[in-house]
Amino acid sequence: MREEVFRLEQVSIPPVLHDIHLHLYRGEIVALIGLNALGIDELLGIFQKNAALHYGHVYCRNVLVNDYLGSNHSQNPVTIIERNSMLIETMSVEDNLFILRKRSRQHLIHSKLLGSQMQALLQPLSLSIEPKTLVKDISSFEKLVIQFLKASLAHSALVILRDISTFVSEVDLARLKPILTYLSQEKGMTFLYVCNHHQEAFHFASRCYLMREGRIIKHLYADQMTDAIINCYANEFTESVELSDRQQQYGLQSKTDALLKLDHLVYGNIDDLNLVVHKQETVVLLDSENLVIHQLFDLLGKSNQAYEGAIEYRNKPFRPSSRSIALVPPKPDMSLIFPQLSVLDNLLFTSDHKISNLWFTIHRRSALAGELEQKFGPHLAKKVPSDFDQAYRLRLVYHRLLLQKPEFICVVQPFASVDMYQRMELISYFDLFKQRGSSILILAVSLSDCLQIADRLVILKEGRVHHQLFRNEFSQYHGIAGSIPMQSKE
Amino acid sequence: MARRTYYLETRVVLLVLSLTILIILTLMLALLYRQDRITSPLFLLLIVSATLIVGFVSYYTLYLPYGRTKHIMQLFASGYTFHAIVDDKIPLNKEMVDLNKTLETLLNTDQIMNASKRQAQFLALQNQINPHFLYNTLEGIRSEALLAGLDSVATMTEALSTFFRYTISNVENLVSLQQELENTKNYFFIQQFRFGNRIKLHISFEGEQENEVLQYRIPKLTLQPIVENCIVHGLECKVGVGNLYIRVETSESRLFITVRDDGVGMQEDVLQQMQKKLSTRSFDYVKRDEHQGGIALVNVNNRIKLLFGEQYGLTVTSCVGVGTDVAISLPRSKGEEPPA
Repeated sequence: MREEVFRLEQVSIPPVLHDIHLHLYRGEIVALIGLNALGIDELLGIFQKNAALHYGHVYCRNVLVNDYLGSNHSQNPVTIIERNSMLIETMSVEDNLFILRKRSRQHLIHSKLLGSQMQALLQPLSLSIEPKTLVKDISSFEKLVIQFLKASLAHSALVILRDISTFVSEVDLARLKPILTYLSQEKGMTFLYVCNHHQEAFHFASRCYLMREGRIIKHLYADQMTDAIINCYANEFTESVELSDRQQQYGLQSKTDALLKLDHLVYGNIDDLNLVVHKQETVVLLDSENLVIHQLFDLLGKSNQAYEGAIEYRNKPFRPSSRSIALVPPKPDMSLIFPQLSVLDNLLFTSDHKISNLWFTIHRRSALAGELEQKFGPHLAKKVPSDFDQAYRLRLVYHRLLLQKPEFICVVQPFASVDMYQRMELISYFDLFKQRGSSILILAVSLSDCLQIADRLVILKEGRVHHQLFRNEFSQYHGIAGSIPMQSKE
Repeated sequence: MARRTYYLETRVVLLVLSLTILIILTLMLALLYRQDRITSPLFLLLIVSATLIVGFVSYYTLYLPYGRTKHIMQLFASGYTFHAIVDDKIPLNKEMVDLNKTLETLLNTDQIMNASKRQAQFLALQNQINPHFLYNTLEGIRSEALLAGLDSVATMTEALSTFFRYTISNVENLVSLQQELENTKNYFFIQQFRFGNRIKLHISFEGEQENEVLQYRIPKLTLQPIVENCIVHGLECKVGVGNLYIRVETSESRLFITVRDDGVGMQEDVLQQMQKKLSTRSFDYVKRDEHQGGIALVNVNNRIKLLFGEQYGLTVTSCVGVGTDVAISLPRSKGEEPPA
């Protein structure tokens, strides 16, 4: 008989959650796909903490832990694993696993014993890490596995994996499947895999919940986990991204001048990297081992000197401070927003080279505010970005780039942790950049929807270009998470 | 009879009384201090402490219980719950308790249960006398007779009589899953005479031995009305073969049955109306116009909630082009009576 680890009965927290019915059994991997982001945070919060509910019942291991009549605000045995690791970077793996846990009752540390215990835990996962290695020195994938073991040692009823493809590479995602299968089937761990892409969810999960506008809109069993069924729920995406005329602007392989050139670049894990980005071209640089993209972005952003080779922009040394270049780091809705500035100032921040005396003349800014009100709402000069949600802030960042009109844009993981509607909006922004003649370099560890806006896919291995595919060849790439444009499917 | 302090009204009176005493005490002490009968200003500390204690006690004995009672009233008003208001641990006053008792009588479970059960039987009977249903069935018999295949005529007639017998007889609330599934298969069998191979039924069991699961008790006429809804609203209008899946799964305490079809699905507004009817408690549907649709699902949902509690019942999800899922959550029980 199957053991139920969590059950939510008609849980409601208006206006974000409505009548959520969900159950999870011991030893299974269930996916939760948010077609939009509304309610996801609150739902995960309900798993973690017994906070006040408008209505509903929450059962953990078959015990009523929370309902609408009274919430004790206690914590449930749930571990959330996301981009920000719960491990302490400056401590060893062994200490993180055994010392920093609630039920650790030993007063003396037996290093040898702990070391052997750790190896015994790692051995079935085909992973080898020295116990004394500091957490900061291990890879993202190894951190992820250590967090699984930590959750297992803490007897977590549920492990929630949130958007892990945003920090774990495609190669590592493929390695993760047998590990999750082992932990769920042999150790009885239950995983809730939260992501935005169905291909990724289907790869890992045995069943799947689809959520939109704070409601569970479909419970998919294994036989229903197909692209055809998902397309019925994501028909707006299919119509606006895959079937529309926008596809025609991509994949036109005309020879144009090189805009950016990485010439025999050597830096950190980057080993003799050669790449040319042409004018008006969108290139996706897929770092399937998650080794180099952050180093490459640092190299572009901080004007660090490469050990060898050079970065050239219009046949001159690359200068990131130029207004013709825009660099977009991960999570730009946080990192590229100035919280103390108004929405209007945030929007116009990089447009001063286009409009003279922008910061000295109020009437020019007011006139621009009037134009922008249609998209961003009234009183832009009085509102700050923190008044708005992630989708608004993301729109704000990309609209600022649109006003800046850069010739070259480098973006890291643009579709990471964004829902379907935000992805649709971002795709329309990238279409506009392309129409205005910008060249775009996308640095990614997993594809998501990057190929929808790409002319060329360049795949890196061991810090150098392994091979490249043009738009009509994209179907040859078999990744775990990512949509492929219709054109290349045909 | 509960103690007087049990009521929020009494607690408010006690709070007002405490505050009045506190104010009088403060004024008296201040006066004495001014007349130099008290020299130390430490009395201020005493007053502050007393105020904090009164504040602390009233937060836990007044503010929080009031918030809870208010929340329950809101849920009652919006139809989420009926019984929480009757079971309210700290009511406003004695009159409110009396009012709740009257309400409880009005909401008498047995009476509503009987009404719901009668309606379930009525809905099923209505199908029997529904001209389309009867004509289609008779047409099937006639066709078969014309073809002189007496065996199949006999089978069909037998299925029809078994269905009638199950629906009209057996007045108990709970039947075994096996009986309910047999009746559902029987109903499906009758419908197949009309639809032929256009509709297919698939039944699967997860998590426990099939013969064990079949012994669990569920309310009578739980599955057949849902299957009927799937056929009439989902599969009948579908071009091509339509599948109906019944998936039974069990956990330590629950029995989950999912009835799923791959028919035409519901429009968003229809689905939302249906979900609202299922998520709130109301017995308006008993007197509702039959053409409004979805009565059978609401009836099944309400009977389950009346029998087992408000944490059980039906949920519906649907999408045009994908089909409709009806998930039934029930307690896992082999007993004759509903579990406590």
